Amino acid sequence: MIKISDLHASIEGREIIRGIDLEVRPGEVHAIMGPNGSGKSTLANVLAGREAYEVTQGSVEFLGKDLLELEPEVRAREGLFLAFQYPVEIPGVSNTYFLRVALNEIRRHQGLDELDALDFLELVRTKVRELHMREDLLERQLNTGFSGGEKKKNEILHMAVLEPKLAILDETDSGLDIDALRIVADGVNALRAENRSFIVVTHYQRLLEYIVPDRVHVLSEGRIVRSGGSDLALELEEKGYGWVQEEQA
Amino acid sequence: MSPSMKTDGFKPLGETLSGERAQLLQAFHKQGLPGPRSENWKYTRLKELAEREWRAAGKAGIDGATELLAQAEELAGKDLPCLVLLNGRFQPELSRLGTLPAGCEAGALEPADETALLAAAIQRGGERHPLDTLNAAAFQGGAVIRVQPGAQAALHLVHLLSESGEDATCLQSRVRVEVGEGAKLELRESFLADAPSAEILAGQVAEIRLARDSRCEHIRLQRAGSVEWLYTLQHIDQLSGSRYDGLTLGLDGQLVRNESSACLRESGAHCDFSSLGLLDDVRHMDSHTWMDHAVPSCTSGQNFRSVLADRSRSVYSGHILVRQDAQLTDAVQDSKALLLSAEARANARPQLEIYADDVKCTHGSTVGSLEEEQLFYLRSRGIDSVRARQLLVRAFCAEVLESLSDSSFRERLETLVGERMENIHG
Ligand SMILES: Nc1ncnc2c1ncn2[C@@H]1O[C@H](COP(=O)(O)OP(=O)(O)OP(=O)(O)O)[C@@H](O)[C@H]1O
Ligand SMILES: [Mg+2]
Repeated sequence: MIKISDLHASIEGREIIRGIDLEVRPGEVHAIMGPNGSGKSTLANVLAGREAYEVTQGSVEFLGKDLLELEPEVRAREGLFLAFQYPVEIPGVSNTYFLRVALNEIRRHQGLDELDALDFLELVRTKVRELHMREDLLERQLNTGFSGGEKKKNEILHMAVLEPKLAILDETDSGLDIDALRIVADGVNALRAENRSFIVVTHYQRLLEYIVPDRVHVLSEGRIVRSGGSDLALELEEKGYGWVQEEQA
Repeated sequence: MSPSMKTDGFKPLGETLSGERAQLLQAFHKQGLPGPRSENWKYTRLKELAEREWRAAGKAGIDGATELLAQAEELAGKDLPCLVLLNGRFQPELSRLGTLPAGCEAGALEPADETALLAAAIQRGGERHPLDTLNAAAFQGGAVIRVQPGAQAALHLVHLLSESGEDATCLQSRVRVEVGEGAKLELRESFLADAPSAEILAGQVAEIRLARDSRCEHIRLQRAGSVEWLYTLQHIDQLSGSRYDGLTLGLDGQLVRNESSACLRESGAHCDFSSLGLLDDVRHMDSHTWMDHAVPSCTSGQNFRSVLADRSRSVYSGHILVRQDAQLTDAVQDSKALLLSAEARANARPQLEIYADDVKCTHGSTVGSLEEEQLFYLRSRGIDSVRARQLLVRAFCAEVLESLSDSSFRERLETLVGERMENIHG
């Protein structure tokens, strides 16, 4: 699915990602954990194509293509999805309208027919129901005035509608109540499939009880300092990051 | 007073004027045009205006006007009764006033109105705005709209300018609107011009009076095309419980200056001024407001936005005066400029003058480009950067239009804005 090799990235001359190797195969779920400021969001943003970050070294192969060569929108159309740690408020653009434009761009790229407004509405309503979201969020302006939890659920709705091949969830569980956490986890699990992969960035072991990862990686100062099975998350919860960092030193 | 500029270029207008009008033109010459050091004209220079030889706009044949009228109605609504001024003169053949409801009269500015207006103009003499004096001296015609107490009406007022000559042409018109007690007027006003080779100065002055508990929704659609100078002066006079909602859409025109003033002279009145300007090339749009809170418990809002491409420029100067008596005033002012190019410029100048202590006055102004975060969010979901930019610009504009009560009209405006933006992006 995706193969990251010796990736280095910096912002304003400061190196944040300092040599990352990571391969995620189709159908796998990988969790990335790590202390604040270790570079998790930076990695996610670099993969999604944010121009502010400069890739200084390394390569990323996504479904056989050189990911770093592609514009952000082309990455999305090829099947990459990033659920933002801080979803952006866009006043004046309706949530549904935006999502329909996005879906149709992706469908067109993949040689599928575009959905008209009615078909789309039916699709999106079904997803909203499955996610136990409030339907009025569809009519509202994109993320504008949404509560923290609503924003995160809206990201999951976007993911459910766009059906990416690789979804990167950046702390989608942060700030969610227990029920919402469940909904988000169910949303992810419903999409789990042989040809779809997930990279889940989280601080909490709790999410990983619902979404059981195949691999867990610990990021520290821009490097993966430890990888393991799903037990690693438990161990981290118990011992804290200090433990891996000390071992590292 | 700062030194003013000569007005010799307007002398030819005097050749056809006599009586009070000639007297007013003399007054205008004496006042002069505001010079570059006048604070209110800091960003909008009239120097070139002073250097032309202005001729009064003549009558125009209605043939060329029907196409313009069709365009105006396409946008403002084909079902509305319409009152057409062609080169300032009322055109009964083009107007459609038969469908006006009872209690609403609309037609040409009558001689009685004209006499009263000129007398008032002379009385106020040198205190008035020089461009208002010019307008009073030289106006070719205008319209009067009256809504009787309790009545409700909707009307499309269409200003058309058609000039096939090559002279520098000066067109001036006046409009007077009276909305009676408890009455309601929905007024859409269009300005369209077809003057391929002449240089045009168009001046429009409007006086709008709202009686107690009356309402006026007033939308101005300025599509001045190649017109070099368009200036509008409007004054709103409001009694208690009245509500004015004004929206000006500046779609083109080379140099546009819009001045709006309101006097809230009885409690419980509300006045709202909004504006949206779409500018490219070297277009210039300058909006000035004066909101006079003279008595307690009135509210006002101002929302001015512009989208600027290429080397265009927008100016917003918003003056709020809260007089000593005007306790419990609530006045809000907001201006936002969205710069799409590094050479575009926007200036905002809020001026709050507050003499009462128990008031709520807020103002905010931002000048900025599209937010990288928002663009990236859209792109990361598969929307290309051109489309993403368009979406964001349209959203910026939609926030001004969303207050419109007629949803199909609003959608037509949104579409037009969208099309205009596509051209702006090239
Ligand atoms: N746009 C930026 N400008 C300047 N510094 C940045 C920028 N983005 C990230 N950084 C810096 O890069 C480092 C890594 O940030 P990043 O957001 O990737 O951390 P994170 O692991 O996601 O942390 P958290 O768990 O708090 O979300 C931090 O020191 C941060 O300040
Ligand atoms: Mg982060």
